[in-house]
Amino acid sequence: MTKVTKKKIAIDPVTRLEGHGKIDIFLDEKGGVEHAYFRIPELRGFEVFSIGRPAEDMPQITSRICGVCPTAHHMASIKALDDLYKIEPSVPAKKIRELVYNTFMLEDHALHVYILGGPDFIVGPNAPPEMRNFLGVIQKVGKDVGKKIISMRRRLREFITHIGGKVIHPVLGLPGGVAKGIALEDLPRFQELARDGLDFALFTLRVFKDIILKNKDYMDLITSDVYTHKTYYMGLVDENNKVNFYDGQVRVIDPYGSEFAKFTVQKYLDYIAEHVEPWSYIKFCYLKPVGWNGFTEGAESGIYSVAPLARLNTANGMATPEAQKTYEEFYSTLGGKPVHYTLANHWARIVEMIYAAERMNELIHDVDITSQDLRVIPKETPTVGMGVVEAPRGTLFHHYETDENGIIRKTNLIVATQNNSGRIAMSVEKAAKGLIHNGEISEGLLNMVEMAFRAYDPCNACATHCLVGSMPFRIAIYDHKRNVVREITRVGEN
Amino acid sequence: MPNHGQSILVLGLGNDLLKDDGVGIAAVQKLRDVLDISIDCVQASTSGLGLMDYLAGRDKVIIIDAIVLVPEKVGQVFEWHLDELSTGTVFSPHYVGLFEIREIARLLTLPFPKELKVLGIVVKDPFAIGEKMSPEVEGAIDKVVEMVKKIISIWQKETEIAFP
Repeated sequence: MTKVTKKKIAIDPVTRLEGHGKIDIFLDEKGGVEHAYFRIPELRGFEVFSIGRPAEDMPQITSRICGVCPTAHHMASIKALDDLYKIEPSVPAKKIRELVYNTFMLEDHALHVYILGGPDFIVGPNAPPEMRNFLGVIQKVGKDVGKKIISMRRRLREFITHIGGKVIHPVLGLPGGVAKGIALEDLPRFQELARDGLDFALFTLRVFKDIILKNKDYMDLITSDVYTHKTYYMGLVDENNKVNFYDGQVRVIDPYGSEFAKFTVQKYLDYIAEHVEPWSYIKFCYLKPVGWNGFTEGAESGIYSVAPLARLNTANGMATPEAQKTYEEFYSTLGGKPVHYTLANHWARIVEMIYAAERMNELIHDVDITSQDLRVIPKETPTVGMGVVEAPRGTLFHHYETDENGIIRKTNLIVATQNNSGRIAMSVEKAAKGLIHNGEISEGLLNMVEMAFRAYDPCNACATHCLVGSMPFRIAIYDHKRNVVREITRVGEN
Repeated sequence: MPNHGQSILVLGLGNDLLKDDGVGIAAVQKLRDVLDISIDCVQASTSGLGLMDYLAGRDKVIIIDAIVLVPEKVGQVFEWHLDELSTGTVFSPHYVGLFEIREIARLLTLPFPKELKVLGIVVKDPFAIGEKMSPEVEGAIDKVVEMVKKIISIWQKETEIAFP
C-alpha cells in the first residue's frame, strides 16, 4: 500500500470500459478525497457532419461512428426514420428487427459479464490486475467454459451478420421495414442458436449464483452504502409495463418506485434536459420537471439512471417466464423494489440476457419470421423523426429534422451513458470518498473506485462522440495544490 | 506469387468516419488492388476480443492500424512483430488486447497465427468525425503498401524454401 497525502489521483483512461475515459481524484490536506471527477475526451463534429446528408444515410453513419454498439444506433436511427416518414413497418419486419436486436443484446451483455465487468467478481475485486481480466475468468471457470463463451459470442455475431450485414456496420433496416428476410431453410440452425443462447444465459446465471450470490463478502460489497444511490430510473416498457429493448414507451419511476412519468419518444424533450459542467465535455442529463439540483440524490434531484438495473426497476416485470423467475429472485434477495445498489447492475444484466435469449426463441419460432412482407414504402413528406431503443447501456434517443427532401437540417442524439452521466459522476465520487482515507491508496482500492462506474458498462465512444474501442488507462494522483504526484498506467481491453 | 496453401490475412483496423483513424481501412482498400487474390484483405472496426474472430485459424497476419504518438512523428510508419509490442508502449484503441488474445487462444487451444506483424501509422487527429485524412497520414499509405508487399514476399520465400 502506498501512503500518499494531499494528492490528486487521476485514472486515465479507465480500464475495461468501452471508450476512453479518465478519473481525477483530488485529495485534501489530510489525504482524504475532496472531489473525484469522471472525465471523457470529446469527439468533435458529429452534428456538422450529419447536416446536409440524406436522412436515409443516418442508420449507417450513426452505427459507423460507434464500433461498440452499432446495432443499437442502427435500430434507434431506423425507428427515427419510420417516424420521419410517418410509416408503420410491416409486422414481420418489426419481428425481424426485434430478433436481431435481442441477439445483439445477448451478445453484448455476455461481453460485459465475462470480459468487461465480470472479472471484478468472478476473479475478485482485490485480485492482482494481471489476473482481473478474461484470462483470469478462464482460469477460474475452466477452459471448456472459456471455449463456450468465445464460441457463443462468435455464433451470435455470425447470425447478426447473416441477417443484418456486417456486425460493426449493419445495413438491415430501411425506413418502413428491413432489407432482408429469413429464408425457411435457415430456420433450423437459427432455432438451434436461440436454444443454445438460452442455455448459455441460464448457465451464466448459475455461474453468477455459485460465485457471487454464495459469497457473503461479495453480497456485502454489492449492498454497501458506497455503491448505493437513491435516484430516479428510466427505461422502455411494453403495453404491460414489462421490459422491452426494441419498442414501447419511456417510463420513469421516482426513488421510491412510483411512476413519475410515461411518455412516447416524441415527448422526450419535455422530460430530459442537459446540464453543462466546466470540467467535463459530457452534458449531464436530468429530468426537466424536477430540475437540476447538483450531484445529489433523492426525489428533489433530477438525476436519473438508465441501463439494466434501471430497466428492471422501471418495469413491473419481464415478459418471458425464466427471466421473470430470475427477476423475482433478484428483488426478493435484494430487499424489494426499487433496488438502488449500483453493483446490482451485473445481476440485472444476467436477467436481461435470459430475457433476450427467451425472446429470440419466441421470435425465431414465430410464423411471421420467414414472411417476405418486409417493407412498407414511405409516402409522406418528411419533417421531424424521433426513435428510441434500449441500448445495452441504457435508453438511446435519435432525433432528426429534415427539409422536404429528407436532407438533414438538425440532429440530436442522447446516448445511454449520457443519460447515466450524473449518477456515474456521483458513484465515482462516493466510492472514492468512501474507500480512500488518510492518503492510503492501493491497487485494490483504486479498482474498487473503478468498479463504481464499470457496473454501468459506460461507453464513452459516443457519449461525447468519442473514439471507438478502448485505450490504456492512467491513474494520476494530485495534491491539494493540483500537482500530479503519482500516476499509474494500465492497459485497457474489451 | 504462389501462396502454397498458407492462409495470409491483411487486416486494416479503424473507422473511416473518424478522419485519420481510417488510415488502416484506406491502406487495405489500396492493397486489394495490388496483392494476389489468394491473400485476404479485410477491413474491420473491431477491437479487443472481437479480433479473435479474424485471427483464429490464420497462418500469418499483418494488422494495419492508426497509432497516437508525439506530433513530430505524424505520418511515420512503425513495424512490429507481436513479440516486440509491449502493451504499455503503443496507444492505439485497437491493438490493446493482442497479447491477451494470443494468451486466450493458447489457453483454449484455439489456432492462432504463427506470424503476426503490426504496422502502425502515426496519426494526428483520430478524434474528429470526417472522411478526410490529414495529408501526412494519407501520404503514408503508399509506404504501408510497399511494407506489406515486402513482408508477404519474405513469407512466401520462406514457404518456398520449406515446401519447394
